Amino acid sequence: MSTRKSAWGVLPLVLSLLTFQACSPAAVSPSTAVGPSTAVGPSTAVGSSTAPSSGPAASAAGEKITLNYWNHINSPTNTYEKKLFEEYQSQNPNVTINYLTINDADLQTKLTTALAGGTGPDIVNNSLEFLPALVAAGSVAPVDLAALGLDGQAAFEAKYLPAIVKGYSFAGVAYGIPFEVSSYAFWVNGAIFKKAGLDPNTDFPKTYTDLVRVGKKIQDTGAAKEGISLTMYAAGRDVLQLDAMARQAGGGLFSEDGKTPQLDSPAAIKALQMWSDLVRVAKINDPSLGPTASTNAEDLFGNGNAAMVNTGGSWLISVLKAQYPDVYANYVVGQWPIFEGGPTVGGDLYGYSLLVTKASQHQAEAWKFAKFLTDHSAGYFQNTSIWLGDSATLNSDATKSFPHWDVFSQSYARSFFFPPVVKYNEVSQIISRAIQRVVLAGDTPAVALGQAQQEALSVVK
Amino acid sequence: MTVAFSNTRASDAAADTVVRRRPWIPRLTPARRRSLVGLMFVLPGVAPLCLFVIYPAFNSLWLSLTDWDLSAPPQFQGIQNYLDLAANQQFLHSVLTTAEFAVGVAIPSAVLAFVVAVLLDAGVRFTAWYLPLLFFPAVLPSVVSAILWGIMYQGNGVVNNALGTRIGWLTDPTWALPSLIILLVWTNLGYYSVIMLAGVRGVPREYYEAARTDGAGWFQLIRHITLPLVRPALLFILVIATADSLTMFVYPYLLTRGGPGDATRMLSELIYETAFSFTNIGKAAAMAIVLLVAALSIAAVQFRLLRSSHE
Repeated sequence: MSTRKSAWGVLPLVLSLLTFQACSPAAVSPSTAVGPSTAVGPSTAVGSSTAPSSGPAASAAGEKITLNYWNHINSPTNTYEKKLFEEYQSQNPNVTINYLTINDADLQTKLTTALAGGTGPDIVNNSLEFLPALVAAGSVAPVDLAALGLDGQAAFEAKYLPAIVKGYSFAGVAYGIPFEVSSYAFWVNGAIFKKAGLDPNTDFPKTYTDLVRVGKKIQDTGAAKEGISLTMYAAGRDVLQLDAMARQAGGGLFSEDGKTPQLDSPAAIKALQMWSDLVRVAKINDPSLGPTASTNAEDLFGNGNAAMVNTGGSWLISVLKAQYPDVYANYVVGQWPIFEGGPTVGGDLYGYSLLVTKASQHQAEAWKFAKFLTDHSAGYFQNTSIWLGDSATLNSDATKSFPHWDVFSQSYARSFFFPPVVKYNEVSQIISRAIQRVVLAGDTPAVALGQAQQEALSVVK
Repeated sequence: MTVAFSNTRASDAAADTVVRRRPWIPRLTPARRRSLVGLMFVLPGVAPLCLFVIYPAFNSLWLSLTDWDLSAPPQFQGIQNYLDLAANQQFLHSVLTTAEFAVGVAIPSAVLAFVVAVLLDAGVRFTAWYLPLLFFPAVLPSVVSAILWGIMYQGNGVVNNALGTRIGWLTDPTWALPSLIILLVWTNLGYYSVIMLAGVRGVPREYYEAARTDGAGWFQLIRHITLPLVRPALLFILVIATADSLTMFVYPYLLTRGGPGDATRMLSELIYETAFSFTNIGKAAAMAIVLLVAALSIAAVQFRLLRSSHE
């Protein structure tokens, strides 16, 4: 009797397992691998349909198409793009743009898992550093030059600066359309400088020695809580900063082909030592004030906690105008400070690339939409202060009248892209942890970077 | 089914009778009927459990034996992932960090919940106000709590101002893990206190009266009467608090991302990073299985140590 009772008790369990096993896909792989969602911006369906993109590969004329477009969160850009969607949809009534904005730090993770689960977007604006991994995984389609109105690779190269073309191509084939190209400039709060008895123009730090001097004076006079806000807990930004400083020290974090890590090179150690000294010796940066894993260094600059910040591109102007008007009225922007007697290298170039996924069933429409977006380069620049990387806008009247454009264009000329590392996700985490161990925990740079070098070697091999 | 027919024209009713053997159907006795009704009642609860817990667990076990990066089908490779983990310093460090976190959360949670319950049971004033206030953090969304405490933990935040210190609660490797422990204990203290209070109030008053008659003091009452009789509640709190802390993800992910360095890199965050950032699904699944086994083992030990002496 007890055996029968046990059998009856197990029955619902068995029935359920059998049911779900029958319903599960034949392959062992789960149909949707989704990680926990954090800080995801609102999904906005601009139009009537919110259904994911689907349908036959070749779209018939008049067929209803929904294009899923993912972008990172940037308030001025997101607002401007929604206006562009309305324009595109009025020109193409059969197309609905489904817009999803995602926190920059999480976009690559969500994109990778979505593509694996078959629910990825048709078109995405993703950080350039992740392009090698996506190309290696076969997830993105080569740029359809004809759809962009270009009659070949030469025309593509003519449209952009050589450094940009190099950063967006692999084996001579363009995989990403340059979309948001920037480099970090150096920003100071003029009001805080004046409050500390400094002149934001003549006392603008040109070397790290200058930086320490003005930072200490600002803190000693109580003009701000910290002299400079530095990035932390954001692997992408941490890597860009350390790589730029390493180049300023005469080296770099990786070989130019992205295949060999050089994390324990003398230049990298010198760079990380300087970073650590700014925090632990000169004490002009206080990590306890932030940023945290959920905030950015520019927020501390914008809310007046810090007098200086080195992680803002031209796009920061629109952000300051919208969110921190007091600082917007008083900022001064210039080139990154350098090591005494060192090469005049600025903050790393970085960018985003507009990609069409291979999984998209509306690639033709996606390329057409990409062309539409890139054709509005001047509009992006005027409305969001973001340069899409094309030479035409770089030399247009719009940039000539843009505040401090000479600073930004000079910065582009003295900056470099981070090398194309296929395992960038893992490597950036390794580098970020090494930075934390030195800057926050007080480890020596040689030891921390030596460990990071071994970890990176095991990842890239 | 066996059908036997009579072919004669005899008027014999028995000869004309078609003998059919009915198929075997279990007789639905009252007992079986009751069982079936019970099964139907629990099925809505068991079905999601199977779908969202048991099936993924078995699937993860399979994935842990494979090499899979999402770009191609999984490749079976036996226990290689487990062997790699045994030699992975970051994983081993993460296990230790997770264990520290679990102990740091479970024990204070149980102790504080007991203290609060005893105080509330002693009839302090304004009990009706204290309980809701204590319970409030438990109903706050985790993300909200994380953001609030992230601001409070800043160098010039509320915590440092109140203590007169300038500690980097989230940026100093010494304090980062304790900061997360404090946050999780604060979050669940009200919930555990309510459970413990129910246990404390379930102790028959006569026991205390009898003990006082025999001259027992306050501490002896607590030690010899209250504690033994609230053991089930204590066990529940320890098991739940341990399981909750072993799988805690939101707070470290939002506040420290496992940093500074690896000071707060717990297994849940490492599993997430390995699976979804590095797309090494097999290794992440192996970590998850290790975590599952550890959690079950700890729960089994807790049950054994704290089971009632009446059993």
